[in-house]
Formats: sequence, structure tokens, C-alpha cells
Amino acid sequence: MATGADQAVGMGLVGFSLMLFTYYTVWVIILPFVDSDHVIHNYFLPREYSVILPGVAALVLILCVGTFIGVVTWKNRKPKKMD
Amino acid sequence: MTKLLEWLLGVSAVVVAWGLLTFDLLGLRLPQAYRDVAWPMPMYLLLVFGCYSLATVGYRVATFNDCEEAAKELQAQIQEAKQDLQKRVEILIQRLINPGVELWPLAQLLKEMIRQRLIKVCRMAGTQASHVEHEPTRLC
Repeated sequence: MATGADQAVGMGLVGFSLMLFTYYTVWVIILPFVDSDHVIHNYFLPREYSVILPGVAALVLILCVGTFIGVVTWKNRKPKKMD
Repeated sequence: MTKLLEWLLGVSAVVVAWGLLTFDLLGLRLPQAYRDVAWPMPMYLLLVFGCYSLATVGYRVATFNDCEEAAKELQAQIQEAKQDLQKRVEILIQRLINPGVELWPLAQLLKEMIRQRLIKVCRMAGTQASHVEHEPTRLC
């Protein structure tokens, strides 16, 4: 078995994704069937944000990945060899 | 029917179904609750896929089989190989500096090759190459 930090990070990832999945499922699938004056609606943003927020997050992620690739490619460029 | 075609057909079927439900193109007039569930569906499926990937990666990281003894053994072998290489390099340098009878032609050849390269580099750098040709041990 992996030890120490590996286990902590791995289980942290699992826990985080479970929480995210539960929150998002309640927001998208369960909330429309709940009466609009129920107190649970206070814990969730308006429905439009359930599409806008993940969309923005995906864009930011792609931006970060693209920037990383660009930086690494830039650092590894070599001048042409003279021979 | 290739796999790509199958996937494309499946995906377009799902997209058409989603479009029909969201924009009510068939005039079905579903209750508002069902339409509220239908229109974020693509984003929801994407996020579920992302969560599943994250959870799988995290789980596999947590349950990975470390081999402690193999790692230590590998480190010891690396150290041993480094020391061995160091010794061999020292022996080789000794033999190059003090060539015995059998290495003299090889040493001469190496010196000549280095001199030619130095001449070429000096010519390209635009400096005088003449002193390299006469004094091959100095850099230009």
C-alpha cells in the first residue's frame, strides 16, 4: 500500500470529488423538484450559475494547461546548430 | 460501421434529444421542473465524468503498491554503479595522460582532431586561426 502523504492526497481527491458530485447533483437534479420556498434553496445559487461556473472553471483549466505547455516549449527551444 | 461513426451517431442522438427537450421543438410542454433538469445536462455529464476521473486517480494513488525494499536496493545499486564509473573514468584519464606505447597513435589522432575543430570554431567566430594552427594548446 502507498504510505503517508500518498494516501492522504489520494483520499483527499476522492473525498473532494465525492463532495463536488453530491453538491452538483443536488443543485441540478434534485432542486427543481423541491418547493421554491424550502430553506434548502438558500444554500444554492440561481440555476444559471450551475452552467456558468463549471464553464468558467473549464476555461481557466484549459488556459493553465496551455500556458504550461507554452512555457515549457519556450524554455526548451534550442538555437540552430552551427556546423 | 466504424467505431468513430458509432460514437458520432450516439453523441448526435443525445445532442438532438437534449436540443428537443431544452428548446421544446416538439411542443411537448413538459412541466417546468423536468425542463430545468434537462437544460444543464451536458455540463452535468461533463462534470460527472470529471469527478469520476478525479476519484479514480485519487483512489489509485492511495492504493498504489509501493515496494520499499526494491527502492532501497535500487538506490544502493545506483551508488555502486556511480562509484564504479568514477573509478573507470579515473583509470581512463590516467591512461590518456600517460599513454603507453600502444595508445600513442590514438592520443596523437585525438589531438589532431581537437586542433581541427578548434580551427573551424575560430574561423567561424571570425578570429585569427593562425595561432591555433601553430600553438594548438591555446584557445583563441
